[in-house]
Amino acid sequence: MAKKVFSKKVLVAFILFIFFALVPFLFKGYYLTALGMGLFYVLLGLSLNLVTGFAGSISICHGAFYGIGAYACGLLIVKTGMTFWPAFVLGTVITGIISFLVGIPFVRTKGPYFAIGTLCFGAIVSLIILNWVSLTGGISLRGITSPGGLGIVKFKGMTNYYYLLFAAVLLYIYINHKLRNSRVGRALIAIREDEELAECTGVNTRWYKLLAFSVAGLLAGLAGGLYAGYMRAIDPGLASIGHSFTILAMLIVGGTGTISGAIFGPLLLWLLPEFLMVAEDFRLIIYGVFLLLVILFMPRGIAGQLKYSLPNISKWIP
Amino acid sequence: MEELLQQISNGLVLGSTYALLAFAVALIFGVMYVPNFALGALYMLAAYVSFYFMEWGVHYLITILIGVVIMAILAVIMEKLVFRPIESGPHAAGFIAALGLFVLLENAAFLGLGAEYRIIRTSYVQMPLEIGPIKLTFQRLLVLMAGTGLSIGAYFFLLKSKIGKEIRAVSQNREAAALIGIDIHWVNYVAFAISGILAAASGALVGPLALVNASMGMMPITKAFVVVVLGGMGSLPGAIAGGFILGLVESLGAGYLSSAYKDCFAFGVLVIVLMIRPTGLFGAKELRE
Amino acid sequence: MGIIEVNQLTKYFGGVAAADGLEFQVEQGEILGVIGPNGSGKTSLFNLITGIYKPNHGEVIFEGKNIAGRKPYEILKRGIARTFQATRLFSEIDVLHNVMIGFHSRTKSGFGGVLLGSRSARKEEKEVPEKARELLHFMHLDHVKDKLAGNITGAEQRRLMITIALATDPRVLLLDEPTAGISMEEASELLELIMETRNRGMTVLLIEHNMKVAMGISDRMIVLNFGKKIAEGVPKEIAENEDVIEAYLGRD
Repeated sequence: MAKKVFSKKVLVAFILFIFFALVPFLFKGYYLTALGMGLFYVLLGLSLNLVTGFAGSISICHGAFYGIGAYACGLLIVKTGMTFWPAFVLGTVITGIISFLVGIPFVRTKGPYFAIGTLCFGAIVSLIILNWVSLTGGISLRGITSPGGLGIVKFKGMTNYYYLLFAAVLLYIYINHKLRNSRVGRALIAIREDEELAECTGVNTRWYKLLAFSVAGLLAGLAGGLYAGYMRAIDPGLASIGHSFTILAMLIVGGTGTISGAIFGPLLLWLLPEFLMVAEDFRLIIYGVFLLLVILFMPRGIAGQLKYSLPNISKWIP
Repeated sequence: MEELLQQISNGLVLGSTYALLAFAVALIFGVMYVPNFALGALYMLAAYVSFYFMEWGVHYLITILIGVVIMAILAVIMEKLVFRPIESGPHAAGFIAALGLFVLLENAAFLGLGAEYRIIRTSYVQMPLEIGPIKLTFQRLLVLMAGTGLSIGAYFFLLKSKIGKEIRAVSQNREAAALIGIDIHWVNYVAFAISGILAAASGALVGPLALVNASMGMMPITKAFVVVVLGGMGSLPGAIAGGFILGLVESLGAGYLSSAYKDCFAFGVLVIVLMIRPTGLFGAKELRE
Repeated sequence: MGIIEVNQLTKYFGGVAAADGLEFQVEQGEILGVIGPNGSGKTSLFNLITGIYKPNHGEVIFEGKNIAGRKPYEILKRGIARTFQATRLFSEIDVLHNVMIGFHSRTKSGFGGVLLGSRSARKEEKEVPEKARELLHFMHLDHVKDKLAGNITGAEQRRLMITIALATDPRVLLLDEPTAGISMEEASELLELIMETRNRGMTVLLIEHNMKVAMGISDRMIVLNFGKKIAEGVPKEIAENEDVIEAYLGRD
C-alpha cells in the first residue's frame, strides 16, 4: 500500500507552516515582537527535546548553553570587532565544543545525579558570567551588532528577524523529525524507556546520551547567538537557573518527546502571560503552577496526553 | 594563624546550616528517592516567619519555633498533595514537581512579601563574643550550637526511635518494609515533617546573619544537593559531615582564594567528583560492579 | 572447545559468593539447561556472561576471546543476547519499534547520515521495519505489532523479549526462565519456537525452574548450588545424580 503523501498530519503541519510564515504580514508591532520572542523559546524547546525528550535525561542547564552561545557571539563581536555572521558561527561551534566536553563526565551519571550535575553546571556558568566583569561586562553586555543583511534585506527589527528565527525553527523541526524516525532516535528513546535494557540490547548508552546532550547544547548556543544579534545587549539572566527552569517547564508542559509539544509548550507559556499583560514577576509563578498541574494530571504534557488518550486526534497532530 | 582560626570558625557556623539542610534533603531522598528542591523554599519562608513575628514583638527564639512548626505542616501538605500522587510514576516526576514547587513558592514570596531585603535584628547579633583569638557574635555561636545539636539530634532520633527505624527500613527497601507491616504513609509524613523542621531551623538561624529575601533559598538548597551527592545520596551521616566540610571549604576558599566566586567552590567540587565517581563519593557503585 | 568456555568464574557480594569457581563449556548448537535451587546463582551467571557483573576472578571465553568484565553492549555486539527473568520491555512504545531497537547493533546509520538523508541511512530505514516484521511473524506476534508493548498479554510479552533478543542476531541466546508466569499451553508454543531457533543454528542457555520442562528441552544440563557447579551431564544423568536430589530436597 503506497504511503499517502497528504496524510492528515502533513496537512495540519502545512497549514501551520503557512500561518507562521505569514505572521509578519498578519501581525505588527507588539504582537509581532511577542511572537518572534516566543520563537526563541521554541528553538530552546526543540533543542532541549533531544536530550530531555528523546533521551529522557532531565537537563537543567539548557539556559546556560543559551547564555554561552549569546555571550560567545556577543563577545567576539564586541571585543574583536568581528561582524555578526562569523561571530555567530564561531560562537555556536564554541558552545557545541563546551557542551560536548561538559557532557563527557555527565553522561556517566544517571537520573538524579545527572540532573543535579546540570543544575550545578548552570549555576557555575551564570556565576562566572556575572562575576567576570572584565570579560563579560557583568550585569550586561552591550554593543552587539545585528546581522549584516543579505542584499537589501536587513535584520534589524522583528519584521525581518522573524524569518531568520523561522528558518531556524524549521531546521530544528527537521532535525527532531529526522532523528525520531531513525536508528539514532530509537536508540535515544530506548535509553529513555529503560537505560539498562537498552544497553543490554546493544545500544552504547553513554555515546548516545553524549550525542544528544552536545547537539542540544550546540543548538541552544545557536539560538543564543541569534538572540544576541536581535537584542544587541545581553545579560547573565539568560544562563540563570530560573531561566533553565523556565525552558524545562515549557517543554514538559508542551509534552516531552513530541515535536508539537516542544513547539506549543513554549509558545503557550510565553504568549499567554504576554498577551494577558502579566508582569514579569508573576510569570514564574504561572510556569510553576502549569508545571505542577501537568506533572500531577498530565505527565505526558499537553501534546503527549492528547496523542495518548485520543488516538484519533493523534492523527492530526504532527 | 588567627586568620585561619577565624575562617575555620566561620566555616563551621556556615557548615552547621548546610548540615541541617543537607540532612533534610537526604532524609526525603532516602524515603522517596526524590531530591526535594522545595525544601529551599521552606528554608526561605522560615526566615521570613522570623522576620514578621519579630516585627510583631515575638522573641526571636520563639519565632524559630513558630517557623519550624509552620514549615513542618507545609512539608506534610506538600507530601500529601504533590509527592504522594506521583510516587508511583517515574522518579523524574518528583524532581520536576519539587522544582516547580520551589519556583512557585519563591516567586509567590517575591510578589507577596516584596522584593526588598529584610534584616532580622536580634540582640544576639550585636553581642560580640571572643573565644581566644576568634571573634564571634552570640548569634553565630547560637547557630553553630543549634545547627550541630539539631542535626546530630535528628540523626540519633532516627537511629533509636521506633519511627526512626521504620524510616530507615523504608529507605532501604520500600516493598519489603510495607510487607512487614510498616505504615509507609505515616513514614512519609514523619520524614517530610522532620525535613521541614530542619530546613526551617536552618533558614531561621541563618536569617539574622544574612539578608532575608525571596531568593535566599536557591543557593543553599543547591549546595545541599551537592553535599548529599558527595556524601552519598540518602546517607544521613554523610549529609551532616558533608555539610560541615562544605562550610569549611567555602569559608577558607572565600578567605584565601576569592570571595566573589565562593559559591562556585561547591559546584566545582561536585562536577569534578561526578567526573571521577558518577555515583558520588560514598554512593553505591554503578550497576556494573 | 565450546563456543563458550567458563573458567574459574567467581563473583562475591560482600561475603557471599554468587559464583564460586564456575567451570564448564557450552557446545555450539546445543541447548544447555541451567538449573538449581533458588538463589543458587543462575541469574548471576547470566549477568556475569553478559557484562552486567564484573567477575572478581575467572574468565568467560566466547569464540576464543575473553569477554569477562566487558560492557553489556559490547558483548551483545559480539553475539551473546539475553532475556531477563522479570518481564522487561520498552513498554511505552509499540511492539514493532521494540523489535526495531533490537536491530540497533547490526545497523550503522549515525547522526550525520540520518540528518543528511544518506543513501545507506534511507536503505536501513526501509530494511529494519521489514526484518522486524519477519521476526514478529516467526515468533507469532504479527497480530500485535502496533500495540504498545505494555498492553499485550504476559505470554506475548515474554515472546517479545525473545524477539528483541533475536533481532540482535546473536549466536548465543541466554534465556532466563522464559516460561515463567505463562500457561502450559503457551509455554509449549514458546519452547517449540526455542527449538526452532536452535535448529537454525542458535546455541541456547536456558534457566528453567520447572524440572520437567528443563529436562525435556535440554541437550545437556548443569546444576548450580550456592554459586558452585554440582553436576553436569545429559538430563538422564542429572535426574539420577544424588547431589542434585539432595540439593533440591535439602533446600526449598
